[in-house]
Amino acid sequence: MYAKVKTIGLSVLRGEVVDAEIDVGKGLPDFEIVGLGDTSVKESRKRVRTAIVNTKIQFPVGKITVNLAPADLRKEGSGFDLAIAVGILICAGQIPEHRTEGFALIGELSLDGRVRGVKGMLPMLTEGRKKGIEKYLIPKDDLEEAKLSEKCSVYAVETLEDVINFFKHGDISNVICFENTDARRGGRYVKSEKIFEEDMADIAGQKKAKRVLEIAAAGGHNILLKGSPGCGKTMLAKRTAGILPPMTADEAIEVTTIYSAAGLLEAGQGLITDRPMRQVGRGITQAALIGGGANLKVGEISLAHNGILFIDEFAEIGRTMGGLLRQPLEEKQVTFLSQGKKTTLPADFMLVAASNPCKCGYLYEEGRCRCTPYQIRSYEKGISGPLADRIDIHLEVVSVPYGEIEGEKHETSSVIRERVKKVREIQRERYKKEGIKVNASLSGGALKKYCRQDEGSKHFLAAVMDSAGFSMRSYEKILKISRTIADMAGREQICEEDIAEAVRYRPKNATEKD
Amino acid sequence: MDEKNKMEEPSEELLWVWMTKLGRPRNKAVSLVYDIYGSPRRAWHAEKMTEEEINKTETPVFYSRVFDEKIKEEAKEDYRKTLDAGIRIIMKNSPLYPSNLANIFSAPPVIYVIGKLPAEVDPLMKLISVVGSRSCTAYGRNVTYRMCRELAECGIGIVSGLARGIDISAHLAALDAGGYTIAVMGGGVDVVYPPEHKRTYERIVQTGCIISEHPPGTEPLRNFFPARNRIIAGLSSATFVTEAGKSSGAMITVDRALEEGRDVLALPGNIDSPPSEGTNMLIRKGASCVTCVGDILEELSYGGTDRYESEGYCKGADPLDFLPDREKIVFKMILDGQSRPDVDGENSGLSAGEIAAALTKLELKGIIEKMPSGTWLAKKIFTS
Repeated sequence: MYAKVKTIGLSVLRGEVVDAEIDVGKGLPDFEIVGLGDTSVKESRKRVRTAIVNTKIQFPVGKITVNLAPADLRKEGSGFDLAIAVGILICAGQIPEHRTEGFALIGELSLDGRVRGVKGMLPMLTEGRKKGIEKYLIPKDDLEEAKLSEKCSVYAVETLEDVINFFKHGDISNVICFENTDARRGGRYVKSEKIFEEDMADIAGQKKAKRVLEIAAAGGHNILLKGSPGCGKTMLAKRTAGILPPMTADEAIEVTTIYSAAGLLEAGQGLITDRPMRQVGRGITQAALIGGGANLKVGEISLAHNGILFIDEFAEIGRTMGGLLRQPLEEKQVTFLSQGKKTTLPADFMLVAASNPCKCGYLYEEGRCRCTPYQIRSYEKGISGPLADRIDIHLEVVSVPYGEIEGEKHETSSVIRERVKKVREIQRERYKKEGIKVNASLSGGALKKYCRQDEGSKHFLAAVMDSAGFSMRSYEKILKISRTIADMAGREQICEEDIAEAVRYRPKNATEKD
Repeated sequence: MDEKNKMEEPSEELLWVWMTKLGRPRNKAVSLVYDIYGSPRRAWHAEKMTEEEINKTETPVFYSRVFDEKIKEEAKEDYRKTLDAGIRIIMKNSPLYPSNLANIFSAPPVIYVIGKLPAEVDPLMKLISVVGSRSCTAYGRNVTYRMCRELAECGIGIVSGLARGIDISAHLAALDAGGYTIAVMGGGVDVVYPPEHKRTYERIVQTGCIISEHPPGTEPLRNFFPARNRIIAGLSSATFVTEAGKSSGAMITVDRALEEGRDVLALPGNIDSPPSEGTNMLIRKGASCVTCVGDILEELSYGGTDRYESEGYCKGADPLDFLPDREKIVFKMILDGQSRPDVDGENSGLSAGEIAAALTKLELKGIIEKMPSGTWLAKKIFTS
């Protein structure tokens, strides 16, 4: 007796539609799964058998062969359990095969017959929709996530018994049926429930730093904070998340997809509504930061997609690690070759890096630093030149004198966030046709087209470039930052003041004239 | 025939262009024209010699070129192109030809000009040549900028050579002050050298002028520069050296200036500093020692320093005078010892963005400098 049930597997961020073929034949009792499954797939045999037995159903006696087609595709995870179990039950005559037609079955089985959630439900359903599957039988745990998918019918179940009753008798008393519409998607903002405990208002003084962070957030610019230990770098960096505008529905879906595939969504959790903020330190490994590796992990840079990647002690993460960041920073995605396949993951994050300015850390504190110029230079070298050049904004953070810590009330994050949101909307409107979201992503022709300057600012920028110390990339970055500053002031054209301010946030190369 | 000739009667300038094409080196061809025919016009109309006659002469190539109609056509074409490019050819006998330059021993018989000559801007304008090393120190560059800026504000034109280092600072100072400046080129007026000074060159074309004795398109050769320096020295009544090594090109300019009896002024420097060796030596030998703009004005016999002292252009001058308001506030903060106006400038009434912008502008003007520690320093070099 032969049966075929559709199911969906997961390959990093993408679902892969898989046909589970089950054959119960004559011969010595045996249960084998073929089709390049990993250990969790092979172990499925024990779970399926026990779950069926514990659901008080006779497990068919015979030679059971399961093939997961296409057979040359590597498969991992426990999501095939349900499809295999249902296939066996069809062969055992417990479920009529025609009832399962048009369905894809996804879910892990527990030994007592319960159906458990799996990771990557959202990308799996997305892929299933692409392949034209309209009905899905999934675990209840994943219902919230499945609701985010495109138009389809979702049936959520809790136990294998529910599944049998559903297919055998059409009994939906224990099944939650949900009709998906596409209404949840689009460009509108999602409502974030998160209350930021860390607020900009907590930070006294630091007007300059706050201004610069606002510029960075408004234009999506990467930023490097340099300052002595305890001056507030980390405090500032952590509060950057709170001044970013809420995600749009599409952005939220992207983020949720990544988290779902990485298995980081909790059972019952639906859409991720807060921009991700990932913090890494210098102990991080390559695979953890970038992703990839033997089992194709999703790296921190992809988990920070549409959000913030905060790297502390940036000068000490090592030049190799820094070098690996260059491609994602430039292309907003990361590509790696693994298992003979090219995999591309999104990685459109805003980099917030913090670093000491020198070995002792006190370069900016009057008289405290005893580092020699050579030591300072070699510490700076920890961040490779090309990488530093790719970070739009460099900001020096200095400790606030005690006097300033006391006193006046400061702006809260939500006030700043509203302003940032407005500036982002200006950009979204302007770049509708360009396929980019923020000023930081401008390049080439678009840069020229949208960074229109008035005459005075052209001369001024020319004079700045003449005064040497800026690379061609700096020229572009200065224009981009000026664009954001002009947007914040509501100006169409970039003026001299904008350029002059933007220049402050770019590091200088050694001057030729010196 | 006569009528046709009349129509084609060449202008002095065209004759000059034609003459420069008669052979190499140029000045040899020019002197041959004068030796043989007495004037280029006569050479142009000279009766044609037969080939045999030409071959009998000592300089057959020269003669064959004189009679070559093709070269005449080429000259006409070049002349037209030159005018089209906005380049003027000024003969030595022209009233526009700078009078100081006309007085030197080896004054170029003709100069090529882009922009306005001093006689067209203000016939009474004083000019000063500012020269110095290409590899200068921050000190040399900054003092050059500050002093030239004040000189330009006094209405004095700055003459220099568009070279790297001191030259470009001098030009920029004059431009930034809205003053007049002349760049004397080593090659043709339309050949920007060094190329990275293209922007400054363009700014000079707008408000000042570019001068060269070479025809347009001439690439600057190494040996053109000493000759160029005589024009720099010749254009003004005084040459001011701000930084120059013992055997630098600037010292050649000084020699030329001395040969023509022009004043030489020098900026004293640190005795340990190689770029100040030349200037210190000049001072020891009797050049005027410049410690403030007033010293220069006095030397240019501008009616003593009183006038300028009262207007605040001399020692103790307030550099704040010429700054826009925001920059003034920020500069004052730095002068008052607030070394980080961008961080602790909260009480200034300016926003963080405005302070950042002002700092960039002040830095560009060369008035303040950023230290590695992130603090700002005012360069109060010659204000008391």
